[in-house]
Amino acid sequence: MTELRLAALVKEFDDFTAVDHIDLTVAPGSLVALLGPSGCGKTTTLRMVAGLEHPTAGDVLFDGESVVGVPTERRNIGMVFQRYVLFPHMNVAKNVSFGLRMRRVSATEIERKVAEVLEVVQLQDLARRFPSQLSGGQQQRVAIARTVITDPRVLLMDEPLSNLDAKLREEMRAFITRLQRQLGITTLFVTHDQVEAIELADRIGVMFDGRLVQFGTPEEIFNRPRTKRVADFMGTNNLIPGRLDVQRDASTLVSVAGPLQCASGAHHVSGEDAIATVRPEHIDIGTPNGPLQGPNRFTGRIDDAVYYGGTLTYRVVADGLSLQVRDRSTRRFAVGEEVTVHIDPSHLWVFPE
Amino acid sequence: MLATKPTAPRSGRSRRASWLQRLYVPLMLTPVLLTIGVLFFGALIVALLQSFGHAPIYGIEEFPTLRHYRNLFTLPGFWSSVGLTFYYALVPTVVGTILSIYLALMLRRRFRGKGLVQFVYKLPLMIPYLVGVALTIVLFGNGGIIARGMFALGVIESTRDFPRLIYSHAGWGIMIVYLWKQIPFTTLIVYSVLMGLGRESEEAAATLGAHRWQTFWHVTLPQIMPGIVSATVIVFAFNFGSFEVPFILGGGFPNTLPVEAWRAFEDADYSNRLRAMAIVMFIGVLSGAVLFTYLAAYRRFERLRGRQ
Ligand SMILES: Nc1ncnc2c1ncn2[C@@H]1O[C@H](COP(=O)(O)OP(=O)(O)O)[C@@H](O)[C@H]1O
Ligand SMILES: [Mg+2]
Repeated sequence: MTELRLAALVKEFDDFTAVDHIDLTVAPGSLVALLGPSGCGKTTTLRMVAGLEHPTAGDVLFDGESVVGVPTERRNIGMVFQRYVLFPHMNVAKNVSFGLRMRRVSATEIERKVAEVLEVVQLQDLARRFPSQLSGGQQQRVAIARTVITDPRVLLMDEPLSNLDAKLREEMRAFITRLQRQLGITTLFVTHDQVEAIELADRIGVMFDGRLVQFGTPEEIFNRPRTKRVADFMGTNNLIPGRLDVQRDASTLVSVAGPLQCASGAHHVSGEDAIATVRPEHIDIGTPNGPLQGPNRFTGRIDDAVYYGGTLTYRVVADGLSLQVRDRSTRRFAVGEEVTVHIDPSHLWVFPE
Repeated sequence: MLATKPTAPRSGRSRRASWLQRLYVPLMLTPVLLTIGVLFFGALIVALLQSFGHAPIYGIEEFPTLRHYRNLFTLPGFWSSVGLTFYYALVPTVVGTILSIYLALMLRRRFRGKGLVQFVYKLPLMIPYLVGVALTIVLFGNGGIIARGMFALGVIESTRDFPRLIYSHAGWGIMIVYLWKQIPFTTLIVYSVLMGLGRESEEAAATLGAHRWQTFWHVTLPQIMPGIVSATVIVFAFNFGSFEVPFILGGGFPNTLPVEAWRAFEDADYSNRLRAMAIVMFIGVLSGAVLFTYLAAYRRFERLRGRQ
C-alpha cells in the first residue's frame, strides 16, 4: 500500500491560481475525500496527482518519493473520470483489459483477471456489450473495473457519482466503499457533496478557492468546523454568533440570547467575534418547569415541528435565537407550546467568525 | 382529451396542408435537381451512348457495339496509362494522409506561433491547383529556383544535373502538387475530428499505462478513422480523375487516363471521340469500383470490431 502526499502543491493557469499550496497526506490504504464547491480546484489537484497537469510549484510524493517528473503512464495510478470516458470503440471486456494489454500481460492471465474483476463489479454478462449499450451505473462500474484491474498504487476518483440518479448513487457509494476496503487501495476521492464525503471517507479535506481550509475525520469536519464557510458548506445548523469572553478556566460567548458557557479552547481570544454551533440532537428539550438544570438554559416557544425518519425536529425560538432541536424521545410538543432548551457546554463548538 | 377536441373539425384542412407540406421540399429542390439531372445525368447518358457507338452528330451509328472498349484494351500504352493513373492517385493519398495525421496531432499542442501556422497551412486550400503547378515548375524545374540554387552553391555542376522531378513518368512534380493542396485539406478534416474528440480518452489511456504510441494506435486512430476514410475517398477520387496537373507536369505519352481521354477527344479524327467516351466511362467505373471496395472493406472492419 502506498502513502500519497501532496506538499505545498500549486497550480497556476496564466495569472489564475487554481490550486494554492495544498498540503495533504492520504495514509496507505485509506480514502480521503476532497470536498468543495465547483471550481475550487479539486479536479486540477487530482490531475496533478495523475500527471495530466504539471504543478507550478510543490510536490506529489508516493511513499515519500517525488513523482512529478514521472509521466502519467508510468505512475501506476488509476483514475475514474467524472464522465467515465470509456473507449467507445471497445467492448466491456476490451475496455477492462486495456491496462493489462498495454502492459503486455499474457493472454491467459488477462482472461483470468478480466473474468475475476467483471465478477467483482457484477458485469460478467455484459462483457461483449459496447459502452453505448450500457446504463450510467454500468458504465461507471466498467470505468472502475478497468482502473482497479491494473492494481494501481493510488486510485483517483473525480466526482464518480455525480452523473447517477439518487438511488443508483447510494448503491454505487456502498459499492465503492466495499471495493476500496476490500482492495485496500490508497484513494483520493473528489466530490462536492458533503453527505457523500462523510459516508465514504476516512478523512475529508475541505477546499475553497484552491486552498485546503480544513482536514480531518468526517466527525471533526461535521461537528467542529473551523470557519463559518466550512460550517455552511457542511450544512451545519444552529450557528450562534456572539463575542467571546475568556476567563481563566471558562469561556463565555455573549450572544443575543445572553451568555453561553462553552468548554474553553486554547484558541479562544477574549473580545473576538465568534460563532458557536451545536448539533440539533445535542440540544435537550423539556417543559418549562422540568428537570433541566445547569447553565445554557433558555425558555422559548415551538415554532415548527417536522417528523422525519423516526425523530421529531423542532424549530425553537428562544430569546431571539432560532434553534433546530432533534428529540428522539416519545413525548410530543405542540407548535406554540412553551419549552425550555438546554445546551451542554461540551457540545458547543466555538470558532472565530 | 381536451387537446384533441379542437383539432377534430379541422382534419379536412390539415389533410390538404399536409399534402402541400409533403411536396414542399421536393418543389423547393426542383431547380437544383433539374440542374444536376440535366447537366450530370444527361451528359453521362450521352457519353455512355457514344461509347457504345451511338453518335449521330459525328455521323456514326453502330449502336450497340463494344468495339471502342475492346480497342481500348489493345491500345498501345493503355495499361501503362491505367498503372500511372493509380500510381499518381494512390501514392499522394497514402503519403499525404500519414503526413496530415502527424501534422494534425502536432497542431493540437501549444507552441509559439501556433496562430500563424494555423493560418498559413490552410492557404493552399484557397489557391487553385494551377497556381500550385506553376509554383512547382518555378521551384522544381531544371531551370527552377532549387536547381539554380544548388548550381550556385556548387552542389551540381550544371542545372541539367538536377534530378528530373517534373515532365517525367516518375511524377514527382504531380505528386508534389497533390500533396501541397491535399495535406492542408486532410489535416483540416483530421484536426476538426481530433478537436471534437477531445483529450479525455487519451488521458484515460495514459492513466491506464498506455505509452504515447500505444495511445495513438489503440485509442486515437480508431476514433478518428471515419474522418480519415472520408478524406482519403475525396482525395483519391480527385487525384484519379485529375486532368490539368498530369497534363502539364506529366512525362508525355503515355499519361493518365483523363489526359489520354482528352487527347482522343481532341484528335482531328472525330471518330476518336467515341474512344474518348469509352475511356471516360472506364475511369468512372474503375474509380467507383475502387472506392466502393474500400468503403465496403472499412465498414466490414468496423463491424468486425463490433461497432454499429
Ligand atoms: N486548463 C485550464 N486553464 C485555465 N483555467 C483552468 C484550467 N483548468 C481549470 N481551470 C480553472 O481552475 C479552477 C479550478 O478548476 P477545477 O479544478 O476543474 O475545479 P473543480 O474540479 O473543483 O470544479 C476553475 O476556476 C477553472 O476555471
Ligand atoms: Mg471538477
